[in-house]
Amino acid sequence: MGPLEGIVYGFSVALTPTNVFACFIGVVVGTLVGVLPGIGPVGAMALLLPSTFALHPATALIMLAGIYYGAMYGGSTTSILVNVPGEAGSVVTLIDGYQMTRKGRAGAALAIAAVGSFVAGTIGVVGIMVAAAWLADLAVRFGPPEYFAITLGGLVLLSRLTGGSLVHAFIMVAIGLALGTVGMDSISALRRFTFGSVQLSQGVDLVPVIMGLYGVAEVLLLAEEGIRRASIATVRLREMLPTRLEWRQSAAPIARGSVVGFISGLVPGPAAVLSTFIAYAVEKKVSKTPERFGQGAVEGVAGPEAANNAATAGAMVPLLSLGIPFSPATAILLGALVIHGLNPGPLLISQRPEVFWGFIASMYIGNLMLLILNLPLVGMFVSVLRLPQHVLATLVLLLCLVGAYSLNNSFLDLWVLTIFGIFGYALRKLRVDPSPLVVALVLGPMMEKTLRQALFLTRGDIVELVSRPLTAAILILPAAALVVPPLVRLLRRGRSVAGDRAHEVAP
Amino acid sequence: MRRVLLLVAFVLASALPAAAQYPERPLTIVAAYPAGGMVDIVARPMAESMKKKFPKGVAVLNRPGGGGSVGLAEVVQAKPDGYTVILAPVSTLVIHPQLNELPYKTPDDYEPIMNTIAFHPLLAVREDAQWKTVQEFVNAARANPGKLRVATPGEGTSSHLNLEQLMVAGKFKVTNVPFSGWGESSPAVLGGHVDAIVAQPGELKPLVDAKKLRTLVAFQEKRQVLYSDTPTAKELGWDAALGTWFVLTAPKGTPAPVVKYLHDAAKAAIEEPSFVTLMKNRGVDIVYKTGEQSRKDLWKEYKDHTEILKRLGMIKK
Repeated sequence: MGPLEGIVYGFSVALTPTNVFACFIGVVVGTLVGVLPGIGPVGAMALLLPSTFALHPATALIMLAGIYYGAMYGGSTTSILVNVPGEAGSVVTLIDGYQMTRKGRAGAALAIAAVGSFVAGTIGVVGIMVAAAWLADLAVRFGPPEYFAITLGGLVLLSRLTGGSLVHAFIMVAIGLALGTVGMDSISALRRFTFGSVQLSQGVDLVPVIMGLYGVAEVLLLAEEGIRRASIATVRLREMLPTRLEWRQSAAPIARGSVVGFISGLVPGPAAVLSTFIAYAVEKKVSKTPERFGQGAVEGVAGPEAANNAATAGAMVPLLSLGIPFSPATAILLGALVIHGLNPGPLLISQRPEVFWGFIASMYIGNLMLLILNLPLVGMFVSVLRLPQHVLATLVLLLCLVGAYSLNNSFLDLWVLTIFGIFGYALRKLRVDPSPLVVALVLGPMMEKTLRQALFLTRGDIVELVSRPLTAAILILPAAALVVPPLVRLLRRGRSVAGDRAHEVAP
Repeated sequence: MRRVLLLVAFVLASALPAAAQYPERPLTIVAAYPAGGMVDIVARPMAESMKKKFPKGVAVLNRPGGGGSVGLAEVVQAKPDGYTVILAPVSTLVIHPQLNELPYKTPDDYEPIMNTIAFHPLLAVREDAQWKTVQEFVNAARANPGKLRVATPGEGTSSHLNLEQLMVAGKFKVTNVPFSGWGESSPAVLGGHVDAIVAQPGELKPLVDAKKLRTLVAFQEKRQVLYSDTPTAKELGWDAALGTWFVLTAPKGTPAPVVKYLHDAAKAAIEEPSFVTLMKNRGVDIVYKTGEQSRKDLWKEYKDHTEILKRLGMIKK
C-alpha cells in the first residue's frame, strides 16, 4: 500500500464516528491541558490511559496522541495573554507574545499561533506519511557523538537568545548545567549532589523549573505591583484578527518553524521545548529587523508555535516506523499500544495498517478540529484579561502547583517550583533573562550523557570523536558562530580605521 | 417499628470497627517507573482486573526516579494499611539499596506479597552483521579484546550484569556502552554505532520480525517461546541467566490477612487469560511465587548481586 492508498484507507478508519469522537475528546483535553499552566500532556495522557483499555487500539492511539499535539495548540494561550507558559514548549512564545498583548495585539498573536500550529501540524503529518521510513533510517545515523555535537552547538547558539549581558548568560548557563547533574545519573545509577536525600535522586525536573521561573515569578510580580500595573486595554472584535502585514510577516516563519520543528522531533529528548528555542533563534537571525524581537515581533510567536507542533509530528516518526520512543510522551503512546497487544515496529504498517494509517489520517482531522476549535476561542480567551488581576494570579499559582505535582506525584517538584519561583522573581527584579538557564537544563544532561557514551564508543579517544564526518560538520557551525562575528568586527574595525586614515590623508 | 429497626441497623453499622472491612478505600499500586515502560505495562492490566476485588477502585501511580528507588522508599515508609503497594523490579529491590543509602536495605525491610512475572534479556546484532552465531561473535571478541561494543540499557541493569557474566564465562572482553534505556540503545545498534545490544525480548521482537536485528543468545535457563531458534547461554556452557522479575510489595508490618487479600487479588489478575496472552506476546513469563518464596529468592539474588557488583567496583566500600 503506497502513501496515497494508505491515507485513503486511513481516512476510512479515522472517519468512523467512534474515531472522530475519540479524536475530538483527545484534542479538547489537549487544548485544555495546554491552556492550563503546569498541567502537561504527559501527565494527562498517563491519567487517561486506563480509560482507553476498552477501546480499539487505533481509537486509543488517536485519542492519546490528540492530547499530545492538542497541548501544543493550547500552550501558547497563557504565554501570550498572561506571560506564563502553558506548556514547557511555549516558554519562548511569551517573549514576544506577551509584548503583543501589551500592545493590544493579543487576538492577533493567538490567531497567528493557531494558524501556525495548524500549518505546521499538517506539514508534519505529510512528512510522516511520505517519508517516515526514510527519515527513521536517517535519524539512527546520528549516534552519541553526533548528538553530543548537536547539544554542544545548541548550547553555544541558543544561550544568548534574547541578547543581553554575556556575563549574565554565562551565569545562567552555569546554573542550568549544574542543576542538570543533580540526581541519579541515568547511565551509571550513581547519585550526585543529593546530600543523602532519596527524593533528590529523581533530579531537578525541567517543568517545575520553567513553571517557577516564569509562572510563579510572574504571579509574585503581579502581587507586588498590584493594581499599579497598567491594565491591558480591552480589544474590540475587529482588532482580534491579524492585519495583512502581520500575516505577511508570519508566513515565512511558520514555514521555517515547521521544518525546524519536524527535524527537532527526530532528535531524542525534549524535542518540543528545544524546537521552539531553535525556531526563535532562526527567526531572529534571518530577520532584517532583529531589534523588534522582544518588543512584540509576530515572527517570534509564529516560528516557535509552528515548531513545537511540527516537533510532535516528527517525534511520531521513530515511534511509528521503528517502535522506538524518543520522548516521554511517545513512550506512553508505545505503552498504550503494547497494553492493547500490539508490538509496534517496522512491520506495524503492514501488519496493522488500520492502526498505522488510521492514526496518521486522524492527525489531519485532529489538526483541523484544533484550528476550528481554537480560532473562535480566541475571543473568549482574550476576555480572560478582563479578570481581576488578583483572581488571575491566584488561578495561575494554583494551576502551577497542581501541574508540578501531577508530573511525578512528587513533593520535591513543589519545592523546586517554589524555589525557582522566588529565584525567577529575583531575576526579573535584577533584569536578568532566565532563558539561558532553561536551555542549559534541557541540553546539559543530554550533552553529558552523549559525551560519555561517545567516549565509551571511541574507547576514550577524543580525536576519533570529533573527526567523525557528521560530528565534525555539526561542530563547525557553533565554532563559526563563536569565531566569525568577533573576527568580522575586528576586520571591520581595521578597515574603518584604515578608512579614517585614508580620509585624513586625502584632503 | 420500621424506623426503630433502621435506627438499630444504623447504630450497629456505625459501631463496627473501621478495620473490619478491608478494603474500604481505593488501592494505590505505585509503578516506580514512568508511564509507558514495562513496569507500567504490567501494573495497569493487573490494576484493571484487581478492581473486581477492590470495589472502591485501583489506581496506578507513576512515581519515577532513582531507578525505582524513590517510589519504593516512599512505599516502605507508607502506612502499612494495605492501601499502598508497589510493583517493583528486582533491581530496585536488591541492587539499588546496595549502591546507595536508602530507607530499605535488604528483603527483610519490606513485605513481598507475591512475584508476578519474569523476563530475560537477549544479545542481538544487526541482521547484516558478519556474526551469524554467538560463537562467531565471541570468537571475534576474543581475537580483539575490548574492540567490539555492546549497548546496554544502563549500568547495573540485568542486561548489563548478564553481559558481564557472559564475558567471565566465555573468557572474552567487549566494551559495554551504557545508555539510559531502550529508547537510546536501540537507535545506536540500528545505526551501527555499536556492534551489538542486550535488551528485553518484547523490545527486540518487532525489529527481529522486521529483519533489522538478529538475536544470538538468550540469558535464560530454558529457550524463550518467542525465540525458539535462539540458544541460551546455559546450552553453550556459559552461566549467565539473570532475569528481571517484578514483585508486588507492601510496607513492612502490613497485617497478614490484608497481605493475603492482596495476594489473592493479584494472583487472580496474573492468571487472567488476557493478561497471560499479553505477557506471552511480549516474551514475558508469568512466574507466580508466594511472598515467602519471593523473599527467599530476593535474598539469594541480593547475595549473588553483591558479588557481581563488587567485581565491577560499583559497591561503595
